[in-house]
Amino acid sequence: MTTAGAARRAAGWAAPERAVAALVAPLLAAGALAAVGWVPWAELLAARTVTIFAGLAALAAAAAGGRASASGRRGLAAAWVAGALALAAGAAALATRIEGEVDAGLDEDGPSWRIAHAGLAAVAPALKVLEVPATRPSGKIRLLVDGREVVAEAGEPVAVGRGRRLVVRDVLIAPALSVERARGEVEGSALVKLDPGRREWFTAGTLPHRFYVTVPEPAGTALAAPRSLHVRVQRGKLRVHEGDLAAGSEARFEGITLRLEKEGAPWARIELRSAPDARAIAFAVLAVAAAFVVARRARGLRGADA
Amino acid sequence: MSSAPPERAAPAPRTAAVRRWARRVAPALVGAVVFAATAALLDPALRVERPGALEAGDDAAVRETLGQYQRIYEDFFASGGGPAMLDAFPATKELKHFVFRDVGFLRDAGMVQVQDLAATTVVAVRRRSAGVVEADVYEEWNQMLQTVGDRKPVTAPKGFGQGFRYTLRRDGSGWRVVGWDLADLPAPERDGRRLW
Repeated sequence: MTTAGAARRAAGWAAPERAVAALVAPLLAAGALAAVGWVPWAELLAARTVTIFAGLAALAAAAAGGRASASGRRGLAAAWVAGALALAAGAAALATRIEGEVDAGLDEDGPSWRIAHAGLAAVAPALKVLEVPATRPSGKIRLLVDGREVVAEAGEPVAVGRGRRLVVRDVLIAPALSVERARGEVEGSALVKLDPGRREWFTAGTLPHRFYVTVPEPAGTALAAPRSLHVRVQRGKLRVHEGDLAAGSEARFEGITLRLEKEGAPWARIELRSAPDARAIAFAVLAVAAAFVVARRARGLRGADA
Repeated sequence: MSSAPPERAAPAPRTAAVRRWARRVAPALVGAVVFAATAALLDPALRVERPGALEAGDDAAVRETLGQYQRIYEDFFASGGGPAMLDAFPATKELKHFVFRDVGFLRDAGMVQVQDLAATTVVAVRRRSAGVVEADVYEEWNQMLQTVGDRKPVTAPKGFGQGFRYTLRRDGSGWRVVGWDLADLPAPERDGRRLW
């Protein structure tokens, strides 16, 4: 084989059309595995590899479009460019995709997000709760999101830019609990953000105990501190205390005092999601359909010429 | 004197078809290999796994790990925090730390807690995700407090039964307990007999 032939062959192997196939095929295979449940969708969409492959496929498709245009095949070039744009939009959506939630107290600075999934370039917004409604579960809540004031209705998604949406899931009162040792040293004192009806636990300072607390479901619609909590204290395998604890009272066990204050403080559970843009999805579907039709027509014409 | 290069024979139709097929499939195969390598490097959590049941042998291995966990747990308390079995205790550093915090709390109060596992019933072992299982266990314990020095009883022996849910993760050396929680499990039926 001559050097020119080898170069031609190498160039053929490195052609952008082949690169697109090499990059898109594993994405389709991964999607098929997710569809049959062998790979979790959420983890697949959050994978950096998927974003990188989609981005590179967009570049390769754009290069293929350029090649088709240079050889005078304008229809094919347009289809490649449309495909490139669809892939680029997909890569961008994956890179900025984010899912998580935050339990933010009223006026609390920099509450920390629990991020479930985040793309390569995803950033959770800086958030502060400015005002909560006097009733729950409905009502308006005033938020500061990335320095911009946003008014959200509980349960309704609100757009906060970059394709992200916030949903205020609930507004509640966090009970104020404190834990003291026998000699009066305070081991911990905190507003505990708890889901009503769920048994949740926390620890305090260097104590080995787990404090299991259940907040009863709020009785009315008024936003008010719970009148009592159900408390169970566990030290390893051993239950060392269990009972209801009324607001303003305390429980004693193993030289420890657990106190529930009369007042609590409001907090909100807020969910963050990246909402796929319906127009971008429609465009991607149309672009892929157009590319398919053009490719079929081009192949048909080539067959007729032969 | 020169001679014309010999003409290459045209490939047989079957060979040509194989070559065409290889040309079409090769990019996808290369892409799949590069994708798998990149994912292993950048997204180690991304794994292909058949959903559903535990892998063969996992159930027995998890039960064995839980048995070892309980035996060494008992030993830590009975010895007042003797670290001899620390490395063999199949739990995370955080859990080990909490056990020793518990033993230390008792020691500061001048006490040792003797607790014996009367019976343990593994109710269920479930796969939660790749390399992570959850085990529901009903445990029946007898326990008493003694003074540190002379081991005189501070409390009368007392028994209790309680359900626990353990989370175990598989690592290079086998299964390891990474967390536990209370579980509201019914006491196993034993014809009305109690072991505690």
